This record gives sequence, C-alpha cells and structure tokens, in this order.
Amino acid sequence: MTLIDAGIFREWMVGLGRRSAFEQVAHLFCELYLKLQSAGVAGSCRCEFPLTQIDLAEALSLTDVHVNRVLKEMCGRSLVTLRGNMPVIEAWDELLQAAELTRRTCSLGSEQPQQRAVRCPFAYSPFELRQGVPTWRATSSSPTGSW
Amino acid sequence: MESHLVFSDGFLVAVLVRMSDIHGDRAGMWFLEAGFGPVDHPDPPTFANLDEAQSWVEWRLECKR
Repeated sequence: MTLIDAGIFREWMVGLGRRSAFEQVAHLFCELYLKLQSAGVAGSCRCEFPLTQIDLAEALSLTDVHVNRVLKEMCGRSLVTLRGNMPVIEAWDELLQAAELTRRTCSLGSEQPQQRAVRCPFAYSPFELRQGVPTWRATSSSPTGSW
Repeated sequence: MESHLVFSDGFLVAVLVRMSDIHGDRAGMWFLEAGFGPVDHPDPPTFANLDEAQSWVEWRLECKR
C-alpha cells in the first residue's frame, strides 16, 4: 500500500465516520468526477454514473431514503442536476466546498496527475472502473433501479 | 415533517417519519428513521401505515427479548 492508497483509505474512513450525509454524497460525486476526468472518460462536469440510490446508500452507510433527501436538496440548491442516469455538476466550487475535498487529496495537483489518479481511484472504494464507467463492486446487489 | 416517537415500557425504541412527496411512490409511507436496541436494523423498513409499523416494532422487541 502506498501513501496515496493510505490517504484514500483514510478519506473513506473519515467520510463514513465524521461527514454528514450531504458531505459524503458531495465527496463521492467530486471524487468520482475528478478521477474519471483524469482518466479521460468524463468532462464538462458530467460523467456516466449508472448507480442507484440504493447503491449509493450502501456504499456510504446511509439509508436510501436519506440519500433521496440529499439528492433532492442538492438539486434544489442547483448544485447538481440529473439527466437520466447522468449527474451534471452545476456548481463545482460549492460542491467541492461541501465535500471538503481538495485537489491535493485527489492527487491531481501532482506532476503526474493522470498516472496516479487512474491507478488509485477505486482501490478502496466500493466502485470499480469498467470500460470507463464507475460500477458497483458488490456482488450482492446490482444497479437495477434508477434515480 | 410528520414524525412519531415510539416508546415501550417508558423507553424510546424508535423514531418513525412519514415520507414526503419527494419520495415519489413511497410518499405517505412511514420510515424507520431510527431504531434503538432490538429495534435497530441495518436496512430500515418502510410501512404502509402506523399499525403496520407498530406490529413490526412489537415483533422486534419480542423476538430479541
């Protein structure tokens, strides 16, 4: 495990233990977007995100009812809009602030952003990258619903 | 937001919340927002009405006794 891996692992532990639901969802959106962008499979503040609210809830130790509330609040504050299964980040700076996420955390401020970001993003998250799309790693459930 | 505290023998065992319109086809149902002790559940259920919720809470208290 490298220092970067350990850093990502710590971020997830802090998120699950100390962040509010809103902050956790914001963090996940920002983290996934930044890493997909650096991998060249996302841009213009949008990315493919074929995950259900149930998947998000399970990944973040929340209930799907509460995830729904958070997403509605995000949409209500015009931070994010949903176009089908594709979330579009409308207010990047505000969402980043809510997530307490820095570019340094994402390793994107380094000299080799692509190499690092592509290697590490999903190592310790419940998602993995399949053909450029974040995919729920768990085998017990599969993304069948929609937002 | 409409909600109820559920007590058993004087102890708070659950918080039920009625789901609002933002929850689509589940609007109006009751959600186990929090359960305490034997009523806690990793996958909190929803109920069509309060009677159903009360039965479930009683069942949890009984089977975990």
